[in-house]
Amino acid sequence: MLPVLTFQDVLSNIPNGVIIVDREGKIHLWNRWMESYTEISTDEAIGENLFTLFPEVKDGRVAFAMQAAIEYSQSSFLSHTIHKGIFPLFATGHGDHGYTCVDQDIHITPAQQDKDTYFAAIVIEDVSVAVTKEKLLKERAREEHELNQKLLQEVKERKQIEKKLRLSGAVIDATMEGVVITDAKSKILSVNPAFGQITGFLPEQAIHEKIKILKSGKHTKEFYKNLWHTLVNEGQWKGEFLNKKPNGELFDVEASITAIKDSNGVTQNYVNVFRDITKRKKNEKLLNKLSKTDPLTELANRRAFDESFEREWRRGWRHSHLVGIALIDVDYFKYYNDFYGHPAGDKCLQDIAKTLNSVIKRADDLVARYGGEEFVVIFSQNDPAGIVKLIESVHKEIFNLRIPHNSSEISKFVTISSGISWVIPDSEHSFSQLLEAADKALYEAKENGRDRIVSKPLDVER
Amino acid sequence: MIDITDLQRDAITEAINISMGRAASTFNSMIQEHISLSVPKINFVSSEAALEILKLPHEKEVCYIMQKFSGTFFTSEAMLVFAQDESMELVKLFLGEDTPVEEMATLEREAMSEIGNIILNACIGSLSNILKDRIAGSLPTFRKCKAQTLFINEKKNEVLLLIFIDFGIESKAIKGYIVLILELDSFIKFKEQLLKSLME
Repeated sequence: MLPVLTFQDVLSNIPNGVIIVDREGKIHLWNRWMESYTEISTDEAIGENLFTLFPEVKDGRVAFAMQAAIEYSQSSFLSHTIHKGIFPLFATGHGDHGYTCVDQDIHITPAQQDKDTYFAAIVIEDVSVAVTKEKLLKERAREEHELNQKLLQEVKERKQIEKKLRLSGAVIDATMEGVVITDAKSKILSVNPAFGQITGFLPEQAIHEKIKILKSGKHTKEFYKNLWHTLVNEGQWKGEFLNKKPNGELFDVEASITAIKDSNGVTQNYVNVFRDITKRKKNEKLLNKLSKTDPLTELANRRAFDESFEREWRRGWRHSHLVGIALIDVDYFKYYNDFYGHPAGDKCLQDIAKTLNSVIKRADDLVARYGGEEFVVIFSQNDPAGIVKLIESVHKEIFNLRIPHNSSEISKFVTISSGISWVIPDSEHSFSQLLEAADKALYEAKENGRDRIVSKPLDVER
Repeated sequence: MIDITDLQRDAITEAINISMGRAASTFNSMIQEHISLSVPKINFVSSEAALEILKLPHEKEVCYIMQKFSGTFFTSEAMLVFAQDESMELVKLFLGEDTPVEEMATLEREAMSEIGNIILNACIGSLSNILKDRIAGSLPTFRKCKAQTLFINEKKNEVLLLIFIDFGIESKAIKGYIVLILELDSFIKFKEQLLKSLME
């Protein structure tokens, strides 16, 4: 048999606060929930005025809604989102909430006893648990949102970087300079089109190979040691390289190698940007040669002689070996020019130059055109007798050319006069003294009838 | 058939206008901002014509608060309809501008239920005054839908009383619409009683 439940029993047990008040605010019903949330017992509440118990609700929405329910039978809803804790309720039984006023939704509805007697039923719902849950969910949603924003930002940044990389990729592809990217162990990871044009290596020949496939073998170990030292310590190396193509052809590059480091400072890659300077190098060499060569005889010119003489002098001084100078002059060359004309004079000088070159072949020795019809030879690491012997050969060979010389007062053919001097360089002497000594010897040879050699060490001259 | 006289229309419009003034003062006691409410016009229409007259595009997201009302002469369902974006403007007004958007969406149901409840109660209260009848109202419920499905369940023989409401809030203008759905016999009784009470 079902237990007989009264209306009061039901109201007592529902999980909401229920208060029934009349027109004046007198409390007619107060359920168990209200007891526990207010610590006002039913006995205390019944017959008491609601506004006496809760003066704070007297002039607000609650009073207005109560009136609407009783006068007009209207139902009203008061949301916790708009009103904070209308009734001072504390969830004593719910340890979690402590003494914070509970979040509450309030429903105020009309209740009719008979035809003319109206009451207002106030139903209070504790929504704090829901609100707490809601807050947690919101917190989580916000965190998720923030995380998403962060991810979106990252994706955006990455896309920008990719875009930049694509752009720089296009620049790298289009540039005239060779670009090769290696890993930290110098293994080639990628090359650009210009790399292939400059080095002659196809990308598939280069990628996965070590960068040393380009090595010409013309640089010393010291060179590479310095390069790596600079690269490791300064992160960048700039300089010139001589490299080798797959067909063995050598080419010069001007290169800039940069170490790419990660955020921990560990080198991940090297980027090597280089430009082919083979042509420039060739031009430089040519210019250099031209600036030191006499155009007529193709011998070293006076400037080259000066540089070379100074260098040999210092070398001789350092190593204490003999430096010799021979000044050679064509006899009666002015007459020759006057008689045969300048083109013939030039030809004569060219022939003499060739002869000099053919006789004096040692790499340490240098033949130069000293000016006009005068030639000079620097002898390094030779002995006086050897020098004199070589010059004698020159005299003999030139005579053997039998270049006719009708205006010569001493011979039918072109002859030369030579002055030779030598010394072991030291602090007592200078190279200009040696040159003067040779000049004096030449003068002596001329004075003594030409077509002869005068040779004297520098010291005897003193 | 669904026409009423100009006099009747004016009487209803005036009564609702007065009740909206009361609702506005309730709002003004709840928030800092000053709100004014006015009723520029009312219309009696069929459910097919309603959307047209409300000028709501079919795909427009709307929300509405609904309450049931029953008096001696008629029963009705009353809806207070807002375009979704305007509803959010109102919620913002009641909860503060700085409420995060994602939070606003979850609070909307509760806040709008109360806001709608105040307006609908005021409106029905005024009708109750002119009709000299006690019209009991239920608690509000809140729903969202597309405009085109708003009146999809309404029957052909129903008459809709459209009450246009303008919210005046600082620089913003928010529009809401009260729709009173009356079955035909309810409407006829409503008209009769209106006539009677106006003649008294």
